[in-house]
Amino acid sequence: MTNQSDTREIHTGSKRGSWYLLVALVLGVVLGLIYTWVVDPVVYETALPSTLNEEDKDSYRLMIAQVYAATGNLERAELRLEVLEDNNPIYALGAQAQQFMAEGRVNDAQALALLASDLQSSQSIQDNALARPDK
Amino acid sequence: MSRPLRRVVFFFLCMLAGLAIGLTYGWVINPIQFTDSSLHTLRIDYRTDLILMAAELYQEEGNIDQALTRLEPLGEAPLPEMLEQTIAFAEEHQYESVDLQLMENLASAVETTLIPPE
Repeated sequence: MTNQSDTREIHTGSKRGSWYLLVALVLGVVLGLIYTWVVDPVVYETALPSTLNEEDKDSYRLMIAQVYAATGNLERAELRLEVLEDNNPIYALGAQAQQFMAEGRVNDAQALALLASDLQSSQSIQDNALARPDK
Repeated sequence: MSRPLRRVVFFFLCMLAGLAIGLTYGWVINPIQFTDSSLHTLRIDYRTDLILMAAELYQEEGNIDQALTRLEPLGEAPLPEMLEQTIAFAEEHQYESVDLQLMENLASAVETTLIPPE
């Protein structure tokens, strides 16, 4: 009788032992993940322009347009716009120009609109050249 | 070692092991991915191009306050230090001499403005 109850006690004790160790392990993992994902996440300085938040993307686009307005280098402006990976760069420029115009930022809006318009013209010329192959 | 004490020690050892697993997973294996990045986290080549743009505009406008406003969001390090690193990167990657000159002009203007001569 005593032997039987001893065996049961040992059996229950070892089961409880495994569970509390597992609980400790899971608790540790959860604490580690909370720390690394919420409290102190890794911030890499390797972000691409396409992953910028909308406000910073607007600043980036505006700077490209301002530089284009100052230098007139369309090729460079096109290359710079590509890194933002807008679905339609001309539309993005136009939309931002309208938004800035509504906010009263006339000079910025003009720079954006100028780049949008010149890109549109350059694209039309390229499309026409493709549509009219040399005879 | 008494049994309850041993249980406490094992509990904490397992928790430490779990913590190590959690930290490794969260920092190394699967770190959090930011989709809404800010300008100061940009990769150095893109940051260098933005600084070049600021330098091109400074050349046109000659307005150092405007240039400082444009440069401010690009880095958490002090501006002269950031510009120095950027110019070093541009030199290393053989940027055109015209572009290098523009960045050096901007760096020099920033330094003069932020660190006035004694």
